[in-house]
Amino acid sequence: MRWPLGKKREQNLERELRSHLQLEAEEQLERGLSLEQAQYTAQRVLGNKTLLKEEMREMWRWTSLERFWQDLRYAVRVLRKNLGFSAAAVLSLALGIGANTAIFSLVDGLWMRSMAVPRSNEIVRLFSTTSQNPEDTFSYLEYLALKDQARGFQGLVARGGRGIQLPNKDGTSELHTVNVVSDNLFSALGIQPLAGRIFTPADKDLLNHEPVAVLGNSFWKRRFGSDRGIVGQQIEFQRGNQRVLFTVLGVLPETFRDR
Amino acid sequence: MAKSSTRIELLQGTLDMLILRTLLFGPSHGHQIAKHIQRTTEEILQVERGSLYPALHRLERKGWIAAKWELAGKDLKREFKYYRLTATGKKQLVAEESKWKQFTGAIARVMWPAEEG
Repeated sequence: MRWPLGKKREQNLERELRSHLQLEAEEQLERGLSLEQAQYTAQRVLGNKTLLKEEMREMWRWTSLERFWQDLRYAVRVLRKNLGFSAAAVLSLALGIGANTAIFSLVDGLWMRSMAVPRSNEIVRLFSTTSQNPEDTFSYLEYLALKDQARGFQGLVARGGRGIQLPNKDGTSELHTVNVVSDNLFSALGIQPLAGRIFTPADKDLLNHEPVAVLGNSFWKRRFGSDRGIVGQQIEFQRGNQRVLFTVLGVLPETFRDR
Repeated sequence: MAKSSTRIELLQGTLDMLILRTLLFGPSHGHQIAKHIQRTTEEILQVERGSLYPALHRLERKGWIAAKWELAGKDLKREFKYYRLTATGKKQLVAEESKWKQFTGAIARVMWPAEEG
């Protein structure tokens, strides 16, 4: 996966922008700003590498990915409609893993190390940057496209958080965060279950037809009193007016901490 | 960047044409191009950096303009990326201009029918 902007082109654009901003600062000076003010403005503008970089990224995103983004916006809209809760959602409870999809990569080894994921130092987290949100997420379709193009990685997994309600017998309900994850999450990260099993890309047919969940360890202990018999049972999740039964496929080990 | 309600958003592709037209006067760097458009239109059209540079680079890739780094400024110590119109760029400008004339003419005929004899 490569950012379409080559290093040289990036440096070039930076040089160009720098001289532009310099001229703008000088103009302000001519317009009667005090020297102090103008210098401050110039420094603020020129010294601000992040601003420059952000502006450049914004431009390149626009130039190179203009059409891609248009497609994406459509894709996101479609996904929001369809992928929600009702689709063959693959849920894994409170799985605090951040294998988000992205364009910029960020080594986040420390964070992963606490998850007891094998070779956690080789994991990078990807996210997109937009003018509204410096750490934005990707749509599922975008993830699929990135996954196809990812070179030099063993796998690209996706995760997205969702808030759900878990109805209690007395009519109340508990609020929980579930993670909708890609089918390759466990296999790519090398995670083994404590009880039952985890799903893999080979479970494609199952995942397409039946909502399944893998439980996080602390949730399993708290809610089901460490009962291994929960494997194979169905639990009901509620989101808005929708209620969906998920079959518990397995339970994750304690070492794989819930967030 | 200050947003003004009187600012007019450029139509897609229009900025490209304005850039090409500006470069007909001779090579200029980005800042000069933006200034020229702003001054000529009495500040009605504001050219934002965020649209100017992507447009310049797009036109460069298409081969309609060519760029060269040159030293300039008061003491010739500062370098600027100067853009100039290429031969294909000139042809493109002619084509864009005639398309634009057709377009504005068509709009005018709907908007001000009486004025069209």
